[in-house]
Amino acid sequence: MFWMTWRQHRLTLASLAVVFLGLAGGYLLSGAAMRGSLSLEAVQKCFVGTPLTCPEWAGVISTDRNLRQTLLPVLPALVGVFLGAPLVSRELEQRTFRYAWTQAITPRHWLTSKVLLLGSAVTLLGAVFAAVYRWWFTPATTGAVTLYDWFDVFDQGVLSFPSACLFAFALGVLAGTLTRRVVLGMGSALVGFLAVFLPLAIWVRPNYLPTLRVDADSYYSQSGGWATDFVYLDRDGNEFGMWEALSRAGVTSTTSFGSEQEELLARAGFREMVDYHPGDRFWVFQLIEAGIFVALAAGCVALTFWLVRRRSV
Amino acid sequence: MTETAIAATRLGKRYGQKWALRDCTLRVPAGRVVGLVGPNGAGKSTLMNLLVGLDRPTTGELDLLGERVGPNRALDRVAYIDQEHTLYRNFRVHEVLKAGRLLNPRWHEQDAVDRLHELNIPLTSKVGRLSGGQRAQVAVAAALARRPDLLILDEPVASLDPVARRDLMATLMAAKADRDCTIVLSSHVVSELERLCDHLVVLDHGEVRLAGDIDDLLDGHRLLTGPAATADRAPVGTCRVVHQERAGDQVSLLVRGAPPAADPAWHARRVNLEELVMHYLASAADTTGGGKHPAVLG
Repeated sequence: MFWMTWRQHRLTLASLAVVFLGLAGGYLLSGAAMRGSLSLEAVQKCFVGTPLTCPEWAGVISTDRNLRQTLLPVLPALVGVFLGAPLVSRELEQRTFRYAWTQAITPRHWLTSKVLLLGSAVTLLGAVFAAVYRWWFTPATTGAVTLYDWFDVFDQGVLSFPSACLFAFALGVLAGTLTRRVVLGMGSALVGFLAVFLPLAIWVRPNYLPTLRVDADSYYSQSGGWATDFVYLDRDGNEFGMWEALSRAGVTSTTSFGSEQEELLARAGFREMVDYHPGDRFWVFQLIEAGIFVALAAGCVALTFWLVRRRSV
Repeated sequence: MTETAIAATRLGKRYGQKWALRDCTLRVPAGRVVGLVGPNGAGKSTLMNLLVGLDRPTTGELDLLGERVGPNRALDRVAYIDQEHTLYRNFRVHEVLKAGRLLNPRWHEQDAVDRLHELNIPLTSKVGRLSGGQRAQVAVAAALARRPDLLILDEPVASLDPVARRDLMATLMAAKADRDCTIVLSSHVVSELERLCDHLVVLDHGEVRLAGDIDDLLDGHRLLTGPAATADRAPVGTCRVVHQERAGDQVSLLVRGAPPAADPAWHARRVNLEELVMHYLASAADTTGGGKHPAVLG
């Protein structure tokens, strides 16, 4: 099955490798170039300062910011759409399953081999990209003064990112098996991945562990961690959101929130508090998220096996 | 080789509310060439899908070559070719052979290479670029290289032009002559099967109407022709009347068994395969209320 898998999916695998390794290559080259032309300390400062701090690398840094805020987190979806979804659906649509599943191997053997081989390949691609990205981003989190924490690039974490790739792949396989159509399966794989990934990243991830609460001054005086919420406490310890607190402090018209407003709040007796996850929780969070993705992937694969076994496909 | 190639017991397959195959009990001795006939939608493909494990039966049991067929059981002695002679279209012919070698522990590459060489099909051709007849031959070569004990072909010539039909039938006959295997092929055209098959299974509306060795079946039936007015007094003896068909004031009765001494008003003769099948299908249409067959006396 190794040759069959390679022969049937080599084009898609090669294209995905171009994307993942291409991006990794870009980060590798720019990271190496930055470190070659500047001292480590200077590179670290590039991430903290304005574009004028190190003008020759400002473009690279802003390109990365754009990429990691848009494309990179949903990169795994590509795997599901182009590799996962057609895996079973193309065989069904082109009726080649009638050839493949009547040779001297069982459909279960066929599916096991393909899922294992391709699943390992995409996990590996994801891991290579995430490892390079981690290396590239290291100066941003290790300076004497830093704006960033690993939590800021959580999606590209070396545990969570490959797991997300694996999950996207498994979800794609399931979507293709359910829809029995290549294009429909690809669409479902994309929608399905976003429908799981976005709520997970936005609403579930902050709750992997209970947040800690400190007052704003001590939060800003330490470095790192992931602030998930800002609240204001009045003298009796009641919690208010920012605008609610302002309104209670007697402010009737303002559209912005700055030091002036903060001062007003302080005078009215409000204390700003920060709910946050300390930076040393990063690996625990990575493990939890990777665990969720791997469990979901296992669920998708199990369901696919059940569907194929039931021959309701 | 085992004595029984196919043993099906009350095999049934239901899709939703509709039974595609019902109560199918069959025993096909090894070494036969079985013609599976019936009109479109009779359940031929369903039966074949069950035979090769592409579908699971709703009811009943199935043994092939003495082994119980069940989920996740590889049928390494059974080869199957579907109606479209499906292969991966983007594979080259030599890659089809490589796939066959890697997916099947029993594989005799030289068989396939020789066969394709004889047919002038280059190993470097892409499957998708071959003609329908050539693709069918590649599929057959790949199936025969497994040296199957049971070869199952679903309407193998339906999509082919007359020349390709003849060639494919010749290939199958030669394969059968080379090696003592059991072949099952389906068709809705009886004449296609006549030269090749020695065993017949007639399916209609998901049920087996007739099954047996063709010689026995032809020996065991007579067509009685006589005046329609006395149809109910026809000299059938203890024979079972399978079907009667009226044409003008004459009536023809297909009876199973050997009718007693001739009544001068009645004429008894042997039937050919096509007549036999047509009468059985017409009789099935009567009982299931189909109205396709004309002039049926109750």
